Amino acid sequence: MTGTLDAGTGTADAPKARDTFATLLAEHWDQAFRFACHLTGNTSEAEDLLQEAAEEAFRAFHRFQPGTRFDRWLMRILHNSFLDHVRRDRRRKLFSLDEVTESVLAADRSGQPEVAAERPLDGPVLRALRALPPEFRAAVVLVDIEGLPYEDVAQILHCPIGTIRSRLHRGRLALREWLRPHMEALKRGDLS
Amino acid sequence: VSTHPFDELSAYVDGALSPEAATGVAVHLAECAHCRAVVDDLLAVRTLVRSLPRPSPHPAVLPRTLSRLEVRRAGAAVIRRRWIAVISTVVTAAAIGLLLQVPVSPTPAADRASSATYFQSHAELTLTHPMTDVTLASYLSSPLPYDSLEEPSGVR
Repeated sequence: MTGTLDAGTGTADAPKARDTFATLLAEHWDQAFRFACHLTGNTSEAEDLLQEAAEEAFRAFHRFQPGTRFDRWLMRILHNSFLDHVRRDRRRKLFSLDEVTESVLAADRSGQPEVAAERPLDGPVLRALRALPPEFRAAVVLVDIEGLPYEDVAQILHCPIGTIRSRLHRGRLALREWLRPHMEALKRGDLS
Repeated sequence: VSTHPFDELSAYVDGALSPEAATGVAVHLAECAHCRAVVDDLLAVRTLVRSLPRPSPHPAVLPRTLSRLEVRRAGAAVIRRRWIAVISTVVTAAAIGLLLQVPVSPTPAADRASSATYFQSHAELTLTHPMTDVTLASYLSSPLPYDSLEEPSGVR
């Protein structure tokens, strides 16, 4: 990644910048897709979101500073796009953690096989994760699934590290409530 | 038992606390069964979430996205070239106009000065002599002294 990255200016370096962008995008594509999946809750919306974020990132690529983490930058753009959608889409009503708890527990009791799961626990865990309000879910996904340090998560979600810590903790506590029956099985060593 | 370090337990589990804070939590955990249970649960939750299957994108999505960038880029370049053409035409025309001293404002300075004087005196008159409807009507029906505004070829 040397040379100027002026994707938006249309100078002679533009094809080079485009290649650089394509390489970086391909490198972090899968991770960004996983994040998009957990944000949107399904793969087709995730693909749309990721595509939109990639276009947005490409338009802004001249502002990307070489030497900084491209994946964090892309994920931040992705998350911003997602928040735009959430704000625009009034059908997607947002619930508080407490409001969600009851509906999740009810759905779990009814035992509907709503998610195609590979292992017995994936269904309930995915359902619980998806029931988390987006800001909590994003923190849990980035820390627990992607294994990112809190600092990076704070950067991606654009909020103070203390907020990340608190969202992560409250998100995990909510999951604990919802998954309590399954956690007992896990601790007994039935799974894992 | 000291106060529960409730908010710090997740960060403790992740090893994200400062060494001092982590020691503080560890000391508390040694004497608090309740917080130990919470830590156990947090670890279990983390294990469950971590072990979720990792979805992969359909292999066609990345190439499709990249080719769309190509199209957008080409489209943007065309629009940009058009704008550059428009702007350069305007700039060239202005430069030629400057060189040839084409008068942009058609009103001669003397005329503008006299009409300004007329409007000023008119404004002063109407301020100092407020008109009734009748005088206003007769004033408006009489020929107005707009000579100074007239074009040379104007018809009265």
